[in-house]
Amino acid sequence: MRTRYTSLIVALFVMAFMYLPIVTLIAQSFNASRYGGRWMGFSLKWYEALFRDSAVINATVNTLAIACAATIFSTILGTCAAWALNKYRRSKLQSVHYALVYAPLIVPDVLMGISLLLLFVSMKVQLGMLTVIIAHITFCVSFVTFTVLARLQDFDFNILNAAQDLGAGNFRIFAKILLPLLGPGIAAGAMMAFTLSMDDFVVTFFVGGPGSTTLPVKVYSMMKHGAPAIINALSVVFMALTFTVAIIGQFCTKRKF
Amino acid sequence: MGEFFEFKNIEKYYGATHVVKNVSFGVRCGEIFSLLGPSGCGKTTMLRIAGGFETPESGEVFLDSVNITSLAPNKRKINTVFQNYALFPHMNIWDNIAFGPRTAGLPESEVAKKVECMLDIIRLGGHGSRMPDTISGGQKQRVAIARALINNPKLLLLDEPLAALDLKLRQYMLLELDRIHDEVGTTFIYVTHDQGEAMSLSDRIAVMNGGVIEQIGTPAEIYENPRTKFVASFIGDTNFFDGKISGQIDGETCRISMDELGEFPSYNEHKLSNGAKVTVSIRPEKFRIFGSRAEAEGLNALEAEVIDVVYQGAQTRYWVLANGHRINVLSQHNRCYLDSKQPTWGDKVWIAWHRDDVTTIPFESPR
Repeated sequence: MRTRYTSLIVALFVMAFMYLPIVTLIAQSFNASRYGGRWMGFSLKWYEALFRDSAVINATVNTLAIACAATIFSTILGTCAAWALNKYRRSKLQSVHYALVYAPLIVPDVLMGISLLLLFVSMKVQLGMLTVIIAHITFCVSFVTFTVLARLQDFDFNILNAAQDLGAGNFRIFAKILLPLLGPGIAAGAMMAFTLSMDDFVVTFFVGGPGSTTLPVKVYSMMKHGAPAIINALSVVFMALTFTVAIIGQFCTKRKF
Repeated sequence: MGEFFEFKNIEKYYGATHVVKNVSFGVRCGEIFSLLGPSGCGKTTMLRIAGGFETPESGEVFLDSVNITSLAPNKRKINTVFQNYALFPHMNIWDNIAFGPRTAGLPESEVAKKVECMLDIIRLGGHGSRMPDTISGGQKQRVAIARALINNPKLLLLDEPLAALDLKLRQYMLLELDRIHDEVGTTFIYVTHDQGEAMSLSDRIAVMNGGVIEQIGTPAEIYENPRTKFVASFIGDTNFFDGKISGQIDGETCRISMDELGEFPSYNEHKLSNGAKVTVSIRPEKFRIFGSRAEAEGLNALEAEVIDVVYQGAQTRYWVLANGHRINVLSQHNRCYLDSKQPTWGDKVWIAWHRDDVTTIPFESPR
C-alpha cells in the first residue's frame, strides 16, 4: 500500500510540473485583468478581441494552409522513403539514405532555418508561403518516414503472397490488406507532420516572408508589441488546435488488432 | 504424361547462384508428395515456382495437362500453406478463412456454409471470432490449412508447415494433416527438411540436394535402397565403406572387397562388373551381434570389439571396432532383455549381416 501512495504522489508532482504552466495560461486567458497577476474576475473579452483581430485570423489561416500542404507532401514522400528503406534495407546505398533521412531529426532547428534561408536567398526565391511550406516538408518527411518505417518493419510481407495465392488481384490486396494494415501508421505519420508544422517557430521565423505569418510567429511578434492578455487567449486557441490533432493522431496509432 | 502435376526441365538462378538445375518430376493425383532436403537445396524454390511466386529461367510447369508456367499465382488452382502461416493479422479466423471465396465473389450465404464446413474439418468450430494472435501455433497452422483448402485447389503446397511447432505438437499435427488429406483428397506437395515428417506422411518422397533431385521413391524405397551416398546419409543413419567389385558369384551376387571390412559376398543390384568402384552402405540395424562365429551361420560375419554401449530402451546402440574401424550397430530388444547376457564394453563379438542387406552405390566422383 505504501508504494502505491508513493507512486501516486510522484505522479501528481510530475503532472503538476508539466501542466501547471498550461493551466495558469488557460486561467489567465479568462482573467479580466490586462496584465495578469491579480484575478480581476472571469471575462471572455480577450477572446472577443482576438476574433476581431484580422491579423490573427490571417495567421490562423496561414498556419492551417501551410500545415495541410506540408502534411500532404511529406506524407507521400515519407511513405515512399519508408517503403524503399524497408524493401532494400540490405543495400549499402540505403544506409546512406537512412542517415540522410535521420539527419533532420538531430540537426538543431536554428541550423535548418539558417541553411534553408541561405539556400533560398542564393537561389533568389521570394520568401513567403512557398518557402515556408518547402521548409516544413524537409523536416516533416523524416518524422513521417520513421513512423511508417516502424509499421513496415513488423509487417509480414508473406501475407501479400498469401492474399495473391487466394486469388486476390492488386486492387483487392491494396484495399483489403495494405490499406487496413498500413493506413493507421501512415495516418499517424501525417498527424505528426501536421502538429510539427503547426508548432514550428524557429524554421518558419527564418524562411518566412511578408504574408506568411503563422500563429507561433504571430504570438512572438505580439509579445514584442504588448497586449499580453490577447496572447494568452491566442495561445489557448492554438493549443486547443494542436491537442485536437495530436489526439486524433494517438487514436490512429492505437492498434486495433 | 499421365502425371497430374509436372515440372519439366526447370532451371532457376538467383543472381549468379544456380539454385535449381534441370529438375523434372511428376506428382500423381491425390498423393502426398514430399520434397525433402537440407536448407538451401532448392526445395522451397521449387514450391514457389509451383505456386507462381517465382518464374523459372527455363522449363515448364503443368497442372492437369495445362501449361501454367506463366500464369500468375492468383490465376492458378493451387493454394499454399506458408511457413509462418501468413494469417491476416487484422481479420479474425472466420474472415481469414473466408478471404478466398469472398475474393471469388461468392454470395455471403455460400461463403458462410463453406467456412463452417472448413472450421469443422480443422476442428475449430466456434472459434471463428478469435483473432490470429490469440490462438496457439497449432491452431494457426490449422487455420492456414483451412484458408488454403477452402477454394478447392487442385493442388495444395505446404512449405515446412510444422517447422515452428514443438515436438509433441508436430507429431499431433502430422496425424491431423494425414486425416485432413484423407477427408479432402487434395493432392499435397509437402516441403520439409525433416526426414521423419516426410517418411511418416508421404506416399512418395523426392530427395533434393544442391539443386538436383537425388532420388524419387516411396519412403521404404528411399530408406532401404538409396541410390546415392547423399540419400543414404541424409535419411537415417548408416555405415559407409569404400570398395570395389572383386568377383562374380552368380547373376545376382558378387564379391566386394571393402577397404575397411575385407572381402564379402554382396547383392549386386546394379550388375556392376569386376573392378568397378563402389560405396557400400550398411544400416546399423542390419548388423546383428553374436557371441561366436557359429551362431552367425549363413551370414557375413566379422570379429569385433565392443567399444561403446548406449542403452535406449527399445534398442541399444553399439559402437564396435572391426579391423580398426568404428561401426555403428543398432540392436532391437525384441526378446527378453534382462535375462539374457548382453554384450558390454570390451567384449569380443561377431557382427554379422546378410548379403542382401548391403546397398551398393556406384562410386561418385566428387561434384
